[in-house]
Amino acid sequence: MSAAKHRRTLPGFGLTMGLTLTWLSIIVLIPLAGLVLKTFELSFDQFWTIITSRRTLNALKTSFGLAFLAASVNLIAGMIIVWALTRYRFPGRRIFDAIVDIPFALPTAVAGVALTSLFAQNGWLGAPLAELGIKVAFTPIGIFVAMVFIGIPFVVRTVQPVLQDIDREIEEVSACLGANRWQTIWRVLLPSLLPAMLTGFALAFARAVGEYGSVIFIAGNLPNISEIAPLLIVIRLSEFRYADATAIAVVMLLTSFLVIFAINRIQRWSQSRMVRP
Amino acid sequence: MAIEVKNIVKKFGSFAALDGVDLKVADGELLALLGPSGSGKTTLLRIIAGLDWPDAGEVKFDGQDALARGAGERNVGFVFQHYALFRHMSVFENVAFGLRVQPRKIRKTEAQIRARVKELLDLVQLDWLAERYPSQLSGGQRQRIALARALAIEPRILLLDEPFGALDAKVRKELRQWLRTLHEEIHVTSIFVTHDQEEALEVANRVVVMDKGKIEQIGTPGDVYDNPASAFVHGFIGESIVLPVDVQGGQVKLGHKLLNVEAGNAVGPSNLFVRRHDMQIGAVGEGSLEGTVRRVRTFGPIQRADIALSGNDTLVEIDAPRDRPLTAGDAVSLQPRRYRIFAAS
Repeated sequence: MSAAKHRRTLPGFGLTMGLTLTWLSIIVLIPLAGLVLKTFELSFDQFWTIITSRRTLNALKTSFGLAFLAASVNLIAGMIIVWALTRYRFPGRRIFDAIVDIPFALPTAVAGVALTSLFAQNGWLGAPLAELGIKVAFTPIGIFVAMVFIGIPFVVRTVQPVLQDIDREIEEVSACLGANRWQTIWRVLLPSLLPAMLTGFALAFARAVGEYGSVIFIAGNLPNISEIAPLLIVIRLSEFRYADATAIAVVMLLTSFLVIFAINRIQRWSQSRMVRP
Repeated sequence: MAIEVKNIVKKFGSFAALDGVDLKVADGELLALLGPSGSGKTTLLRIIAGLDWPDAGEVKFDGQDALARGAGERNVGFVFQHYALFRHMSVFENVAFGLRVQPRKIRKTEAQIRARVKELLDLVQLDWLAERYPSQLSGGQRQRIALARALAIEPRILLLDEPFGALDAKVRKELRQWLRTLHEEIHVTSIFVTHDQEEALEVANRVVVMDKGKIEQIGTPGDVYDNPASAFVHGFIGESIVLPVDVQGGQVKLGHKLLNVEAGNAVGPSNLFVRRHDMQIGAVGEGSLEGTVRRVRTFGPIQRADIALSGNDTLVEIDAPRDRPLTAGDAVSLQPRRYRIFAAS
C-alpha cells in the first residue's frame, strides 16, 4: 500500500467520525435502545393490548393530530411573519424579530400558565371567546393553542435566512417577463423556499408532539379527550407501570421517526430538483 | 421601438440619483450608458424598465406614456449583472418562463413553446444545455441563458445592466463581440449600462456618458473619445494627462512657464487635458515643456515613459513610438499635439 492512499486534504476523518459515533451512541442510540429493550419485557400480546387500548390510542391521536394541525397553521402564519420581517422595513421590526424567539426561551411551564390564564373563562381572551360559545382552556383547542405557541419560531427561523438570500432581482426578472404577483410567488419563490418550509414544518411538528410543559396546564387532561401521549407516559410511570410507559414511548418514537423521515425524503426530492450534482 | 426620456428626476432621500435627464433613443439603436458607479446609469435603466419610478419626468415608448404601465406590461427584456436565473428550473424552463406565464388567451401551445425555446437556445448557441440547471453552467453561459430568457417574450426593448460585469476578461471580450453580432441579427432597440469605457466604445452605436445624475455627453464612440465635451468626459474616457494651468489674456501658463497652446474659451484657473499619445516628445528646445525621463517601459509598439517636468515636480506618463528610444536620465521637451483646456471647477 502506498503512503499516498492515506493522505487526505482534510485530515482527521478517523478521529471525528469516531467521536461522532461515540457521542451519538451515548446521547441518542443507547437510551433509545434501552427504551426498546424495556418493552421486550412485555409479550407481543401485552404490547398490542397496551397500545391499542382506547386511552392510548386517543392520547396518540390527540398528540399527533393536533401537532400536525398546529405545525400546518404555524407554517402558514410563519411564512407571513417571515415575509413581513424580511421584505419590509418598518419601525419596531427588530423588536418583532426578537419576539419571535420568546417561545424558544420561555420555560414551557411559564408559557402554559400564561396561556391558561389568558384563555381561561375569565381570562382576557377566554371571556370574549366564551361568550361566542368557544371554550379554549381545558379542551383540545387549548392543546392546539399551546402547540402553535411553542412551534412558531421553528418555521420563522428556518425560512427567514433562505428568503433573505433570494435576490430581489429574481422577482424583478419575473415581473419583467410578464408574470403577475401570484405567478411570481407560486412559480419562483415558493419552489425555492419549499425545502426550508418543510424543515420548519418538521421541527415545529416534532416539538409539538413532544411538548409537555405548556400543554398540561391548559389541556385539562381528561382521558380520551384532552390527554396527550407524553402525559399518559408520565401517568404510567407514576403508577410504576414502566413497561406500559415504554410501550407508548416506542410507538411515539416510531411514528415521529416515520413522519420526519417522510418529510426528509420530500425535502431531498425538492432540493435535488434545484441543485443537481 | 424609439424611447424618449424627458427631464427625469429621481431622489433617494436627499441624494439625487438622476437630476434632470433627457435622452432620445432611436429604433434599433444599440446604446451604452457609461459612467462611474453612483452616476445614475442603472437607476435610469431601471426606470425605463419599470422597476423604479421617477419623482418627476416622462418616459415614452414610440410616443406613448410608459410610466402608466408596470414592468410586465412594457414588453421590455431585462438582463441583470448577476444573471438572476431561476435556480430551481432547468435552462429550458428558465427560457420558457416568459411564455408560460402569459395570459391563457394568448399563451402558446406546449409545442409552440418548445419550438420557440429551441430557437432561442440555438440563437445563443447553447441548445445542448437545455436540461441542465443554472448551477451547472459557467458565468458566460448563464448570461447567455439570461439573455435568451429575456428575448423569449419578443421584447421591443432590451435593457442590460452591466451584463458582462461579473465575467472574467476573456469571456467578457467574446460576449461583447457576440452581443454586437446578435444585435445586428435581431435589431431590437437595446440599452446597456457599463462602467467599462472600452466595452462602451467597442459595442455601442452611441455612447451616453453620465456623471452625478446628469448626462455629460451623447455621441458616437469616436466622438466622445476625440471631442470630449467636458473635463469629466476627457478624464473618464481614455487616459489623460491633466496639467493645472492659468489662462490670462489668451496666454496659457503652467506655473511661470508660457505654453505654446491655444487657450480657446477658457479664462482663469483651468486644466489642460492631453492624451498620453498626443504628447509630442522631442529634443530640448523643440517643445514648450521640459523635463527629465525617470523610467521607461516598453510594450508592443510603444514605449511608456515617466517624465518629471522641470520647474514643478509633476510626473507625467506619456506613450511614444519606439523609433526614438528613450532612456532614464534623458532631458527632453514635450509639446501637446492635440489637447483641450477646460476651466477648473
